[in-house]
Amino acid sequence: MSDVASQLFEREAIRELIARVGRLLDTKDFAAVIASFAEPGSYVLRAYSPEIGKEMIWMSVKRAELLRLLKESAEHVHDLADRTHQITVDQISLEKGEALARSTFSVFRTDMKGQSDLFAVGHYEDRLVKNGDTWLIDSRTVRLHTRMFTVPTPLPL
Amino acid sequence: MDHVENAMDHVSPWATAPKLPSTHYVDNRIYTDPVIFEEEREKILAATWRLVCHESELPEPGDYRAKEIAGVPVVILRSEDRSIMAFFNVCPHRGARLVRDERGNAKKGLQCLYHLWTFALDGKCTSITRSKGYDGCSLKKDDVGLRSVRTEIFCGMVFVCLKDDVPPLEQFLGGMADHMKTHLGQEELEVFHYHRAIINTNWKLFVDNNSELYHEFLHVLNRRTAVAHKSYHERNWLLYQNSHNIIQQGVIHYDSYGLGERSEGALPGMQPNGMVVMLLFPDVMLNIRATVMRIDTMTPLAPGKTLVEWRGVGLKSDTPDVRAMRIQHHNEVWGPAGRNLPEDIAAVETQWETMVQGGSRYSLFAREEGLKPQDDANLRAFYQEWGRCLGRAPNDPFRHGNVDTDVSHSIKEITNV
Repeated sequence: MSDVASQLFEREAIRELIARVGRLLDTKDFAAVIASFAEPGSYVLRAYSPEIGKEMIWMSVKRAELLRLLKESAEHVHDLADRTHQITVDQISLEKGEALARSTFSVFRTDMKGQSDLFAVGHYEDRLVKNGDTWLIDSRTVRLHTRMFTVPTPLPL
Repeated sequence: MDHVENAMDHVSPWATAPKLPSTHYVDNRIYTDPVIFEEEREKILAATWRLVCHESELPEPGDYRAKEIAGVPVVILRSEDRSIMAFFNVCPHRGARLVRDERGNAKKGLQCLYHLWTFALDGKCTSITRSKGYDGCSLKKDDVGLRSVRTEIFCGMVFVCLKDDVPPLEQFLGGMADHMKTHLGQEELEVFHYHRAIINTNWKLFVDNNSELYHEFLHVLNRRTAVAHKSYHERNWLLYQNSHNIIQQGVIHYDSYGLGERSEGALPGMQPNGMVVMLLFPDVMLNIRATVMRIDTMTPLAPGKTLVEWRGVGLKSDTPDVRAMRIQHHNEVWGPAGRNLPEDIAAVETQWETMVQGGSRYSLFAREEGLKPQDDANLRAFYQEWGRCLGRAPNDPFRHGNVDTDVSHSIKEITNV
């Protein structure tokens, strides 16, 4: 395979991974979400508050803690609505078995009556690593534009 | 017909007032009725001291924060001499909003966007565009300064009051002032987290949620780390005049939920793993979990719409490592991605849904446990104070004639402390 073809192949694999994680979050297939992260992996949720003029961290967990949060989510009183991720991968840069990807996402929430609303908008900044032939997310920073949530949630976006 | 009568027999106990002392239940129309809501705005929300921000949110001269108090736009700003003042966020010329963003700096003064009148940080009008046009009626700059709002700062907390005839803040806080000094007044604090949401419920239902510790059963985290432990139940509510209250410090067993100890970096007045909740009438909660403080304030927008603002607070002197620890501790439980907030909001929104449809007529505040944590005494005191302010009985708010707003039951509980 030529270098160009190889690069296109890798980029397509990364795009598919990022889209797949969105779908897995929507279907609550949390084991598969976790399997998409490398060890030790990290997930950080950030937002900027113009009200206090500060960058904020709303969640910062390693892969193991993320797994725990997802496992325990069923025992918490939780939102019964469905979520639908829509993700566009804007930029991928590849270098020596690693990749950086920037994506724009929106999450729609469909309540139990069937009404859908836009729930959250933001960007993913992913650092990806290759494990054999498989790309995994090494770290994901979610930069939220949405700061007011109709229903707060400890579930990752 | 028999079937209908039987059904009504079954329903009637829920449609009639509970057989309880009048202080031990409320009529749920106090949450849903629009006339009562408007009265609350006038007689409580506009007539008491309201927490608007922490002084760390206004570090430099000219820094401002904009808020609405009972529907009135207010701008709070730090003046050149570093004092903090508040004004109606309104141009006295024709009523345009002066400051349109929530936060900013106006070191050079405030300028109305409409006709470009300008104002100094002390509220004085500094220029009127083409002022000669007012010579005929002798209108001068001195006549058109900004309308000031009473402002007082206590332990770094900035309070304003729209009414001029309300007693000073410290008198309003009464016995709570000492507790605030212990936890908020020993070291400089700093807000590191802010978020807000408009929740679909009445503001008092979220106050109830913040106030009653019986609701800890809602949270799996609290069930395991707090109420399951004997020591949790061995402390008392301290109730004060004006319905402020505090629960004595208890120890939370974070290890029971696999969370880390909070033994290092405790905030002033806090023991390792300690927890304290303070409530200031009408809408403020100060909740300290050993290393981190959460401050809730509310802006009621409509009977079933409430803007809630949440702040996370640490020490101004925090090193980056200590601040990171406080943020982690904050986020483990609180914040929009924390474990507990989704549960609280789910609970109070379902209450609103049933009440506004008339499906739930009364709410019970009847737990008596000698002021122990899950006693409802602090909620009873809140509704007695609410009733006093509005001249309505919370259990029978539409009763005609003289309304009994006797607070003797609450006062008796206060004197029991």
